[in-house]
Amino acid sequence: MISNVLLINQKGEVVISRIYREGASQKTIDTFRNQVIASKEAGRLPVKVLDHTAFMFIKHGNMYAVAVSSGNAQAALAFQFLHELIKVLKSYFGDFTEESVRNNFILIYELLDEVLDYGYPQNTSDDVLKMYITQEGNRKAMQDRAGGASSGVTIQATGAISWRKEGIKYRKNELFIDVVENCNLLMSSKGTILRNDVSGCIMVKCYLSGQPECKFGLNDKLLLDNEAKAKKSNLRRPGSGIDIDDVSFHQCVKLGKFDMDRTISFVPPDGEFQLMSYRITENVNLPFRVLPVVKELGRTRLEINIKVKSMFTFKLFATNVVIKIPCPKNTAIANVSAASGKCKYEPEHGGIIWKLRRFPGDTEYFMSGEVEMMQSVSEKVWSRPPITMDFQVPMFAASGLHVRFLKVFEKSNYQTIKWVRYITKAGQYQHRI
Amino acid sequence: MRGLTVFISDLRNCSSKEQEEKRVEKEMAHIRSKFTSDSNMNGYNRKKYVWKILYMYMLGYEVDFGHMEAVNLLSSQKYSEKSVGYAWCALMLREGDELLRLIINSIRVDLISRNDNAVCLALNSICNVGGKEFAETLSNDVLKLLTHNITKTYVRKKAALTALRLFRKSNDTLPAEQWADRILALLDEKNIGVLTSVTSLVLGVLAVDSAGWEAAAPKAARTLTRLVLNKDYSNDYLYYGIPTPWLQIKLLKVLQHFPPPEEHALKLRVSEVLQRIVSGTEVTKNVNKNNATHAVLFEAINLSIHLGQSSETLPQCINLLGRFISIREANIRYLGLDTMARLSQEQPHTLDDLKKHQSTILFSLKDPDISIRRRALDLVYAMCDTATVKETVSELLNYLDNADDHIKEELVLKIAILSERFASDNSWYVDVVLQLVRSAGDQVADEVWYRIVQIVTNQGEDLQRYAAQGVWTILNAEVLPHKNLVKVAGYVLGEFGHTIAESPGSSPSEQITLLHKHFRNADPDVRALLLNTYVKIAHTYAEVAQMVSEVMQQHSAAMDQEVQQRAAEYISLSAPSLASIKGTVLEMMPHFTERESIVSKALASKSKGDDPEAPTRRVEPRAEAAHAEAAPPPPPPSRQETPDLLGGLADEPAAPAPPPGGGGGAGSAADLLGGLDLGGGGGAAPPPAAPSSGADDLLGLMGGGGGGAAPSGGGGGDLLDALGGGAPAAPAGGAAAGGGPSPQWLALCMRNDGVLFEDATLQIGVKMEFNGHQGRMALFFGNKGQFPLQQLATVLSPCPQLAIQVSPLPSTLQPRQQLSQNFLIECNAPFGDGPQVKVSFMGGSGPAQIVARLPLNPSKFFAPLVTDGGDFFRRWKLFEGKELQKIFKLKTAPLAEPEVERVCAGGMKMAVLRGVDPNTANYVVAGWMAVKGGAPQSDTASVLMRLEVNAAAGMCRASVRASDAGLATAVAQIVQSHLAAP
Repeated sequence: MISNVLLINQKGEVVISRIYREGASQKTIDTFRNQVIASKEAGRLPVKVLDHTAFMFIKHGNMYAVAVSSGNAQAALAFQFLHELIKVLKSYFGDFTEESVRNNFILIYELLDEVLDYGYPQNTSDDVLKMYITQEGNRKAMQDRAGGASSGVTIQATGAISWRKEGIKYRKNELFIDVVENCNLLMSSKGTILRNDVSGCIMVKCYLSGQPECKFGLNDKLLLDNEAKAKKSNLRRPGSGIDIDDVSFHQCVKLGKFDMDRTISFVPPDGEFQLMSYRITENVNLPFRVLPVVKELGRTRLEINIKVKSMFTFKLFATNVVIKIPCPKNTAIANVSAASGKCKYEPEHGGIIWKLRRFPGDTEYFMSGEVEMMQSVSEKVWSRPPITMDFQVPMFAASGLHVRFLKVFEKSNYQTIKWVRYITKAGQYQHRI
Repeated sequence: MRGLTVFISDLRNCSSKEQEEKRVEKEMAHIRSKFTSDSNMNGYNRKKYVWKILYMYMLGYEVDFGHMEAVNLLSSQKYSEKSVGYAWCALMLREGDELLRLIINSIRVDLISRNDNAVCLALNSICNVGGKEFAETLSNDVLKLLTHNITKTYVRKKAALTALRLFRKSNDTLPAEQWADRILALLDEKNIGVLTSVTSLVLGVLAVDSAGWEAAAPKAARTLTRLVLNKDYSNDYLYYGIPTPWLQIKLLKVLQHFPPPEEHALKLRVSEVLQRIVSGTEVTKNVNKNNATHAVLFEAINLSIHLGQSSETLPQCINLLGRFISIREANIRYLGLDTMARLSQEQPHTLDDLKKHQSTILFSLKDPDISIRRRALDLVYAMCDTATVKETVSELLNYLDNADDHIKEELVLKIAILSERFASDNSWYVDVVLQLVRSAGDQVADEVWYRIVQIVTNQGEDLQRYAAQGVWTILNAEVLPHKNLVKVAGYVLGEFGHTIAESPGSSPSEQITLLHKHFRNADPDVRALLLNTYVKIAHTYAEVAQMVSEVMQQHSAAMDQEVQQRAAEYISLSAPSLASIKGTVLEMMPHFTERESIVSKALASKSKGDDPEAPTRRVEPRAEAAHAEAAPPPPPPSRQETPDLLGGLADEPAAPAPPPGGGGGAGSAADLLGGLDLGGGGGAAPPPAAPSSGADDLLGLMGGGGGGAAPSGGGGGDLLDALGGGAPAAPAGGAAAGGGPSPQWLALCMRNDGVLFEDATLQIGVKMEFNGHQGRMALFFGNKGQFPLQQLATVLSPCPQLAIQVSPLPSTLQPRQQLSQNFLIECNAPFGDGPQVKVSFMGGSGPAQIVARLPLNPSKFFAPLVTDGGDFFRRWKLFEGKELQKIFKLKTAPLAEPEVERVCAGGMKMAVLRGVDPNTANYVVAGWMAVKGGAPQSDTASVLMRLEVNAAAGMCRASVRASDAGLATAVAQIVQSHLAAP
C-alpha cells in the first residue's frame, strides 16, 4: 500500500504531495528530502528506508516521483505504478517537468485521485482516464458525467474489455509492430561464451476501428511442431522455430487460448502498447564479435589492440556503435588510433571510448592504442574489467524470431495495413580481457 | 589560483553524485597526465594540482598518486609551496607510513632553518605524524629548539608540545641527567603560554618516571604562589576571573607526583596556596566560572589528600566535600563522592570525620543518576568497618529491594563481602546471605553461595544447625524459591540436615518432601544437586531410602545427562556389595582449605572490568584478614569420581575385586576413590591388538606402573605375578589378531553363524543377523575345560563407524556350560576393518586373554545393486581415483560363474551383473552399503567391483571402487582370500 505520492523537484522541494492513508510523518519526509535528494544521494539507491518508512523513487528529467510506504509494500508494484503514473502525466501534457507539473497541478490531483485508491493502484490506462478526466471544460464534463456518460464510464472500467473503448474510428486502418530485442553477452577472454541471452519485447501501435480481434503468429517452435503434427506433414522440418522462454503478455491477450494451442489472440487497446515480452537463451545470433589483445608491459604501460567484427549480413548495418575499453585507474596518457570512427580516452567514463556511427554488416574494424600509467603508492593490481559495447542493429533480430502473420478480424471486414520492424540493441554486451 | 577555484565551484555545482564523480575522474586524469608529461613543472602549477588533489581527497575520493610532487613541494623555498606540502603531509600521512622516511630529512632541514615559519610547520607536522623513528632522529633538534635562548616564544611553545609527543613515542629521548635541569629551568619562564606548554611536558615525563626531576616540585610551588597569592599574571590569561586554571591544575598535579615536601618553606608555601584555593572558592551562577573554579578546587583537594596529615587544609576539605555531596548540581555531587572515596582509602584516619556525612551518603544511594549511585556505593563500601557494619548492611539490604538491576549484582557482592569481613558472629552472616539469596536470587553470583557453604562447613555444629534451621524456615516460607536458594538449601540440608532432624516438623522425610516440591520446576543443575542431597539423607536415615530410590529410578532415564548419570550411579551405589564404598562416598564433606575469599576475588575482577580506580583495590589485603579461605565450588562428593567407578562396574558387574589390568590399590574403598583415575586408566590401557610378542613386556610394564603408583595395595604384587604368568597362556588369540585373518573368520565372512575361536578351554561361537544398517550378533562362550572360568569379560576395540551396544555377561563360566552375550550393531558410516574383541578370564592355569577379530566385515551391511551398464559406469566414474586393485592367482582358472556367484552374491550380498563387460570371462559385481541415515542405492553408498580374468595365466585382477578406501581394501581382501589359490 502506497501511503503517499510525492513529486519533488531537483532542489528537494515538494511540488505535489498526495496522502492516501496514515503513514509517513512530515518530519520523515523532510528527512528524506534533505538526506537523499538535496544531498545528491539520489540515484544510488532506488529505495531508502528512514524511520521504518520506505521511500521508493524514480527520477525523470529533473523531477523525482516518490512513493512512500510505511507498510511492507510490494516494491515492484510501487515502481511499476510510478512509471505508469509518469506515462499518464506525459500523455496528458506532453512532458513531465517541474514547469508542466506546476501548470497542471489541479489536473494532477484529479488524476492522482483516480489512479490510486487508498494506496492501491487502479486504472492507469491513459485512454480510459482521458474519457472522464478531461483537461478542458470542467463544467461540461460534469454535466455529462451526471447523465449517461457516467454509466458508460462504469461499464468501461469494469467491463470485459476495459482497455478499449467503443466506437473508435480511423479512416486508414493501420497496425505497426516493432520487435525490440536486447542482446546480452558475457564472453571470457579466451572467447568462450559464458552467458548469452536475448530479452525482447513486441511493441504494437494500433490504429484500428471498431472492436477488432487480432491473431498473431511467431515462429514459436512449440507452435510449429504442433501444426506440423496436426497436418501430419513433413513440410516443415522440426527445429526451424525458436524456443521462447519467460513469456509475459499484455492484459489484452487471451491467456486461455495461448495455454491451449499457443496462439496469441487479442483485442488491442487503442494506441501504443507492449504486446509481449520474452527471453531467448538458445541459438542466439551474435551481432558482433570482439577480439581484444590487451598486454600489460611492465607496471606502467599497456598495449591495446581491438578487432571488432560484425556478424550479420552485409545488407544490414549497425548504428551508434560505442565500444568502451576500460583503462586502469592511474592512467596518465593514452594514445589511441582507430581506422574508422572516433576514438578517445575519456577519464570520466574510466576508459577509451570508440564510437562508430555506422557499422556495415560482415566487416572488421581495428583500433590500437598505448596507455601510459602513473606510479601509484597503493600497489593494487588492475582488475581488468570487461570491454562493454553498445549498438543498435535495425532489421536484425538476434534471437531469430520473426512475425509469421498477423490477422485482423472485424465485423466490417476492413482492409488493414500492417508494418513490421525489427531492431536489436545491446543489453549488457561484455567481453572480458 | 583560478584553476583551483573554478574546479571547486564546478564540483559544488554538480547536481548529482555521479556528475561529481565524473568531474573528479576527469580532473584526476588531467593531473595524472600533467604530472607524467611535464617533468619540470613550475612550483605554481605543482602547488595548484596538489591543492586539487587534497580537495578531492577531502571529499572522500581515493588518491594514490602525487606523493612525489608533494614531497618536492615540502622542500621548496617558498612558504606558500612549503605549506601545501605540509598540509598534504598532515592530511594524507599517518604515523608509520612508509613515505615518512622520505620526508624526515626535509623536515629536519626545516627544523634547523632560521625561518621561524618553516620551523613551526616542521614542528606541527612532527606532532601530527611523529613516531618512534622521528623520536630517534629529531628529538635532539626539538629539545635544542626548546631550550635554546634565542628561540621565540611561539616556537618554544610548539617545541615543548612536540617534545612531549616524541617522549610519549619513545621514552628514552629525555634522559633526566641530561635534560632535567635545562627543561626545569624553563619553569621559571615569565611567559605563561610557554609555562603551560612546558608544564604539560614535565607532567608527561613525570607520569612515566619522576626520578631525577625532583626539582620540579619547588618550582611548581613557586609558580603557584606567583599566580594564586601574588597575582602576577597578565590579564590575557584570566578565564572568568581565574588566572589560567589549566596551568594551576597542571602545577597541582605536578606536586602530586612527589612525596609531601620536607622543607619547611616549601611546605608553608604549598599549604598557603591550598588554603587560598580552598577557602576562596564559592559557587557562582555562571556555569563556566563554576566549572573552572571547581576544577582547580578539586585538584587542590586531591593534593591535600595526597599530602595527608601534613596538610592543614584537610579538615577544611572534608567539610567542603560534605557540603558538595548535598548540593543539587549532579556533577559536583559526583566529584564529591568520588573524592571522598579516594580520601577514605588514602587517609583512613579521616574516616571518623567522613562518618558524619554517612546519612547524606546513604541518601545518595537513591539518587536518580546511576553513576552517582555507584560512587555512593563505592564510598559506603570503603567506609564500612566493624563498628558500623550492621547498620550499613541493613541499610544496603533495604536498598537492595529497590535498587535497579544495573547495580544489584555489585551491591550483592559488596554486602556479602562486608557481612563476611566484619561479622562479629557467623549466624548473623548466615542470615544476611540467606536474605540476599532470597531477595535478589538472580544477582547472587555463584561465588556468594559457595562461600556461605564453605563457611558453614568449616564452622562448628552450632552454626551448622543454625544454618540448617535458617534454610528450612526460608524454604518453607517461599512458594517459588529462587534456584540459588534451592541450591543452598539442598546443600545445607544434605550435609547438615541431621542437625535438625530431631526437631518436630523437620524430619528427614519432611525435608525430602519439601525439597522435592521444588524439584519439578528446577533446572537440571539444581536437580542434580538435589539428587545428591537425597542420597545423602537416605544414607543417614534408612526410613527414607525407599522414597529416594523411587526418585532415583524415576530419573535414571532423565533427559538431562548429568541428572541421569547421577541417578544411575546412586542406584548402582546402593548395591549391597558396594556398601563400604557408599559409606565413604556419602560421608560428610571435609573442611575446606583456607584460601583467599573467592567473593572478594569476584568483586576485584568485576571492578577491574568497569572501573580501574574503584576503591576496592586497596582493601584487598584487609579482606583476607577476617576469614579468608575457600576452595573451588564444593563439588558434590561423587561427581568427579563416579564415571570411572561406573566404568569399573560395567566391566565387573558383580565382582568388587580389583580389575585385572588396573591398579592393585583397591584394598580400601577410599583408596579406590582416590586413585580411581589411575585404576580407570590402567583398566582401559591394554590394547586388544597388542602383538603377542610384546604382550609379556607390556603387561609387565603396566603392572609395574600400577604397583608403583599404589604401593599400599596389598594384593598388587601377587596379582602382577599372576598376570605375568598368564600372559603366555593366550598365544592363540594374539596370533589370530596379529597375523592374517583366521580361517574361521574367513568362513564367517560368507556365513552368518559358525565358530569364531576354539581351543582346549574355550569355544566361541557366533550367530549374526543383519537387516539394512542394523544387525544383531550373539557370542556364545562355551567352557570346554574342567575348571570354572572366573572373571570372564569382553572388551571391544573402538570402531567409530559402528555403534555397538553390548549386553552384560556373567563373570563366571562353569565347566561344560555355555554363556551368551548379545551385541546390537548399527552402521553409521562406511568402514574397513571391523572391531576386535578381547576376551579375558581366569582359567585353571591363571589369567588368559584371547583377541579375535569379530566377523563384522563391511559386506554384512551390503545389499545387491542391480543395475545396467550405463549406470554402473557412471557410478564407477564417480569414484575415480578411489580404486583398489589386487592381482592374484586363481584357485581355478578360468573363473567359474557359480564360484563368483557363491562368493559375491551369496557371501557378500552383492549383485553379479551380466552383460556389462563384453568379455564373458570377466565379472562385474555391484552392491551398496546400508549406512544409518544414508539413502538406499545412492551413488555414494555403492560398492563396485570388476574381476578381470586372464584365463591363460590363471591370474585375476580385482578392482574395487567405493567411497571409503578402507572399505574398498576390505572388500578386495575378502574376495582375494576366497578366490585366490592358497
